[in-house]
Amino acid sequence: MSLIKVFIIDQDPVELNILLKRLVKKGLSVKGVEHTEQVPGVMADFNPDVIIIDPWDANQREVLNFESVLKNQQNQKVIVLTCQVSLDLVNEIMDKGAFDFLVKPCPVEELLMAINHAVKVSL
Amino acid sequence: MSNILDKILRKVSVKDSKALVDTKDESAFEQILLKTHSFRMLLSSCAQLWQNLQQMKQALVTNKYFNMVYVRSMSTQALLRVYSIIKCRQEIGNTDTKVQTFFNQLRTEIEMIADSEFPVKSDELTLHLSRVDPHRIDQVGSRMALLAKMSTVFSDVRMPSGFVITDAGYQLFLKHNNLQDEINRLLQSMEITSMADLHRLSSQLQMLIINAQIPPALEKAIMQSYKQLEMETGYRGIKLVLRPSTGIPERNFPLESLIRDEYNVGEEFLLRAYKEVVARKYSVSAINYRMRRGLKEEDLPVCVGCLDMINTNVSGSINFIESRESSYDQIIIRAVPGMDAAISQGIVKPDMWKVGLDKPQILHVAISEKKIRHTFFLSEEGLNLIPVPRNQRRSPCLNNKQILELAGIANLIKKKLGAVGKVRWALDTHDGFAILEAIPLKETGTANFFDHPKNSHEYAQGLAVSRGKASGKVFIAHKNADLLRFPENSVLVVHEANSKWASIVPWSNAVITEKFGDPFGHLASMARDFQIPALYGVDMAASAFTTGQMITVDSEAAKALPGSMENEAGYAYRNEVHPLMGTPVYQALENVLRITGSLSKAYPLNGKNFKKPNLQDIAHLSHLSATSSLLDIAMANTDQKNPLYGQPRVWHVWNLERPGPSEMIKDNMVGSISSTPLRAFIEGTSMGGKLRFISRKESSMTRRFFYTAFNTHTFYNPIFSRPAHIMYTESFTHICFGCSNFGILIQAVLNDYNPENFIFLLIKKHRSGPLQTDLGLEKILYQNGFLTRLEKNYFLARKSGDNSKLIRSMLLFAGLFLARLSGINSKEQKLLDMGNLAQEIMLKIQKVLLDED
Repeated sequence: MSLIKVFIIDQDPVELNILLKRLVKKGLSVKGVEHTEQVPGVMADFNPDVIIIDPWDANQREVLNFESVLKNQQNQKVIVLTCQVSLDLVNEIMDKGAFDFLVKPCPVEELLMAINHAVKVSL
Repeated sequence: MSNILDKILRKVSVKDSKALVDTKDESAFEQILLKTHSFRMLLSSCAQLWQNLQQMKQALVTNKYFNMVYVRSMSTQALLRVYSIIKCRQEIGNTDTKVQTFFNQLRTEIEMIADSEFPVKSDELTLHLSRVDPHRIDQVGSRMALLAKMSTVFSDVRMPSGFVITDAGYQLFLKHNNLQDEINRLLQSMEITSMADLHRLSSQLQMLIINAQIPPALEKAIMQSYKQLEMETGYRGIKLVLRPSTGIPERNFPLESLIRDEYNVGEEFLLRAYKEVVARKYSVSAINYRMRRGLKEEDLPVCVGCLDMINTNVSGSINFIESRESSYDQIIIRAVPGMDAAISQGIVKPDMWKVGLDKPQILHVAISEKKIRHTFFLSEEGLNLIPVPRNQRRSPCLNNKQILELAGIANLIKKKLGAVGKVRWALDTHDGFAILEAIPLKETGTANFFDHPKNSHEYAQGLAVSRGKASGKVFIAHKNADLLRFPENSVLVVHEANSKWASIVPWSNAVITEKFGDPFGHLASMARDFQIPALYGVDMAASAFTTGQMITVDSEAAKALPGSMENEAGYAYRNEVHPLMGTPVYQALENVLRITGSLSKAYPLNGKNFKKPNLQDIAHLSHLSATSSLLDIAMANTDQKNPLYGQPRVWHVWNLERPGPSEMIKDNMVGSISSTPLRAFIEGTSMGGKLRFISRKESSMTRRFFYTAFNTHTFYNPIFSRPAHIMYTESFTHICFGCSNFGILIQAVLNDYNPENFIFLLIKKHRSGPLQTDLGLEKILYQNGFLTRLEKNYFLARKSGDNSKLIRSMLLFAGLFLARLSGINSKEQKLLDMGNLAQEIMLKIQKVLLDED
């Protein structure tokens, strides 16, 4: 059975690093980037199953282009993992095509469940 | 009013008015004014105290949540009111020092309850489990304290080794990063109107803590303790489980059960995992829990136990339960393959055994299908879910011998520590059973979880895991995003009883799961704790119902039905237990009310023989003595020769508490009067004839009026209709009737369900003549169960208890009696048998009340 491939996009290097380490320890194949510009290249080479993205920084500014990620994805499931939460935002993101919306900090087991769910649905 | 009065007074003879106002009377008059001011202040404080106490009592009986801020502020207000009352009383002229002494004692008691502090803490940032003082909950939290206690008591049962990051360590961490101020700011500034708002708040608080730096001293202490544990166990790179341990031992549902443990943590992630565990104090579930129990932020330090992971083949819990026959003679054993985290997270439904402890025997068995198990790999972090081989899924996790062995351990724990609530255990095939921890959790309201619904293939039936009945619109949740979009007061419908849905419970009206889950898991326990009806195993619920559909969940009948049981959406039946019952904040308010007290049933008629009055007694006594003093002033000016009878049939009604527009009483219409006893009194007067009532504002009480209002001359001027005066207050409801030969003071509280209902009569007689026999009241009062007391110048009578009908009848009687007397002239008086008149009036009142029924 092939490893699940997860691509993480988070402009916070500390959070990105922790997530990468934890998911690798869970037996997943993981890559991560901090900037949207790096996304197309990784998508082409890595071809992930699931994309995890936090489009906003701590000041609620959109620092990663969520729409462009959605445009670039090919049958991958996109999970938003962020601190920025509001009812309108959740509805907007889900309407735009995200598979799920998780709130930081998210226990790695719950993140794994969301990833597994996304992959199961993909399959 | 003063204009009318002036007109009346101008018509009084010059001689009379001069006699009223001479030099000597002027200074006495000034005194009266000062005392009147103090009296008004006293009345105002009494009214506010009464309201204050009623609010506190209401808080205990309704389902409203309150916190220690509320308890402290209400206690302070009550004390201030009583202090003001005592001061005013002294100004009126009563200088009884005993009352002040009693008040000081009560104040000290109340302040101690409202301002309880935690004991002084130790400085040690980490503490090995073997060095933990089991009684120092404040240092290590209740969970770790109990574990330490068990380690010392059960030397022959295997238990985990480890250390605790103490409250001192937690406080240092907060202080180093100035976290508490920022946390408080976030908590106070954010407005919560939806689940998404609550999640945002939780996220910000948790990330604040996770991104904070661990102070160097704490980091050093933690890593040193870790190294020590490596040496002690002989395992380099030992993996730990981090368990939160809070400082408050809760009776029903401990806070730490809402803060997830962190499993399989190695050296690399130890500090990060510590911060994550601490941060979970601000998970959505934990915030809901604290808000609803009124727990202060500062009252909830989070200590973290770092314990070595035990290699686990099978694990589970033992729950001590109360049976009907006797307390805690049965246990429920739950078991799953692998780690028991799968149970609390609702991922796997455990096997369950009900076992009797007296002669250990298995009473019931329920074996589940277990498709997955939680396990851990030393090369990784956290737990992993792996499939259970097909041929093992329906096999019992434990055999009968192992069940009885666990029952033996439970008996040992019960014998040495009592029925602690819940005990988590693990089975290692090589080393046998180990006790992981004990949790002082009391499960209440448990149904018979071994019964399954008879027609489980019908979508509307399930297993009731939490009692109640509620209606609401369905919200079917599949993903985490649905946690954020859940509309308040809806019925949550989910596939599995996963613990992540527990955060929604306080916002929902009911919960339905499709799969059978653990009835002792997080979701079910939260539902019971928040009194939300919950059904498990409602097959195909997500496809049978649609989002937005109105349904009723009736867990008493174990059914979910289309439609609403009430017209309003979101109606929910709650059981009668106050949600805060058993919590520190509820007990604090109970204790404060115990000291403020109800009006003492043994209230002595002369008010002097208190052994230990409560606050209400002090207020009531002060109120009574102040009013009595004013009555004395009035009585001092009566003309002894003037008879009682022939009273004018115009009575002025004074609301002494309200300076604003007073109640208008026209043509004996009493509907607008808010004082229940006064209303009853005036209803009585209206039975006796036509009395004209005029309402008056207290603020218009002028100097000359006050003096003359109690002067006989003004009452008996044959040319002009001099009014009689009824002054009343709503707190303790005073009716003060001043006339010539006597003054009558009636105090009454009259509510339908109030056990503090009473009626109290003070009749001050004139300087000559036995008043009570003249009035024929003594016999009537005695026949109706009054306590009476006759003194030289006054007659007292009191009836207390919750018989509102009797008290109302006495008020009707008093009103009618006085109205009848005021219509009798001096000639008629000589022929009148007062006793017969009183009896006749009483019969009339009783007939009226009978007709009302």
